[in-house]
Amino acid sequence: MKRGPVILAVGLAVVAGLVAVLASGFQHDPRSISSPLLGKAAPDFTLQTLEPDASGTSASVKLSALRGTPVVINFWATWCIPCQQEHSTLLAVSREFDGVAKFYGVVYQDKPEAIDAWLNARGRAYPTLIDVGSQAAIAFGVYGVPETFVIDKKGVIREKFTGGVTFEGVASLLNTLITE
Amino acid sequence: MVPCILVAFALAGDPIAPPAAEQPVAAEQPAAAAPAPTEVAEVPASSNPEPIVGPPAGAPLSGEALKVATQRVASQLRCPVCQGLSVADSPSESAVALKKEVERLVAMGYSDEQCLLYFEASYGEFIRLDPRAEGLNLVVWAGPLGLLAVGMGVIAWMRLGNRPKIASVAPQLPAIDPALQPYVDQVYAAVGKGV
Repeated sequence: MKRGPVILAVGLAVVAGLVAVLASGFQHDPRSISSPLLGKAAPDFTLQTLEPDASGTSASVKLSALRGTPVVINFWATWCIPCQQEHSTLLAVSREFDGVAKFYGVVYQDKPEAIDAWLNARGRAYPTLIDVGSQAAIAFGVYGVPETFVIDKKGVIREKFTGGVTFEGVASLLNTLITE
Repeated sequence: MVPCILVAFALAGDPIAPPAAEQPVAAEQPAAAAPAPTEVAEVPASSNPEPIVGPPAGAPLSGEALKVATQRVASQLRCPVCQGLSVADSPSESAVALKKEVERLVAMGYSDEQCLLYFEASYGEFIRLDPRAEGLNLVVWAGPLGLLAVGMGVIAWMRLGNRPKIASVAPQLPAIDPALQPYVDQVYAAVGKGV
């Protein structure tokens, strides 16, 4: 048997294998990492709001106490450019679903002063929660910002959006969750 | 090596940074009258690992034992915002936060595997720096060994193929003229060898 064709065939097989692996990697969005929490109960947290309540102090928000209403949790930061892009969308969709769904922004590795200035410049429509120590972000498995989790009335995570959200994406899901 | 790096990137993807915008988008909504921010107390979100991994398997740790165990677990966790760095090796804020969480769990007595399972429950298996050697992951573990075996087989086959064959190097005797064969036979008989 001649060696040349066999060596060529083996080399081509190895290269074809590598190309197949690379091709499969390029076919999916590298930012889209499926969360193992989808379909499971959202990790509970108790976080304090940036904005003061009527008494002038920050209020505590316990996620598990919000059951009965769909909840949108948006992890974001002032240093995140895509967060700036999606902010107006989140404001619009939160106003659209005012009273039937709750929205919270959870600020990820940021300073209250910077957050407040950022919101003053870009508008605010829902409470901002401060995640000291990033423990809520860790519990939700946040890889980067923005990441948005949509939780149903039973407290189950139904969707995770990696990167900026779209009005249609969040609104259509909320319309479904509201009627369940 | 380069293909290995490419494969690693293709498999792992880049979970860190969403695409950066060319320019920040101007706010569409007018800024609402914002209340002054309050002093936020340093109260971290309390996450209880027990519903996920059960009660701590060991005794609470402190001091040097806590430091060693924290480093050991952190070195097995992937930094979520880095490329191929462990939580123990990365100085990023995310890695520091994760390492603090590891320390909290280890101090409570949770074992290495319990800690890894806890983070895996929220981040997925990607958070493990070394994926488990099971299922499709076996391809990653066994692939290099398989390629090595194929390479060694090819080399061995080539070396065997290049070895000179005895028959091919044996001197080729010229054909004997039939008329001279009787004399040749006599010579062989004289020297004690048959034809």
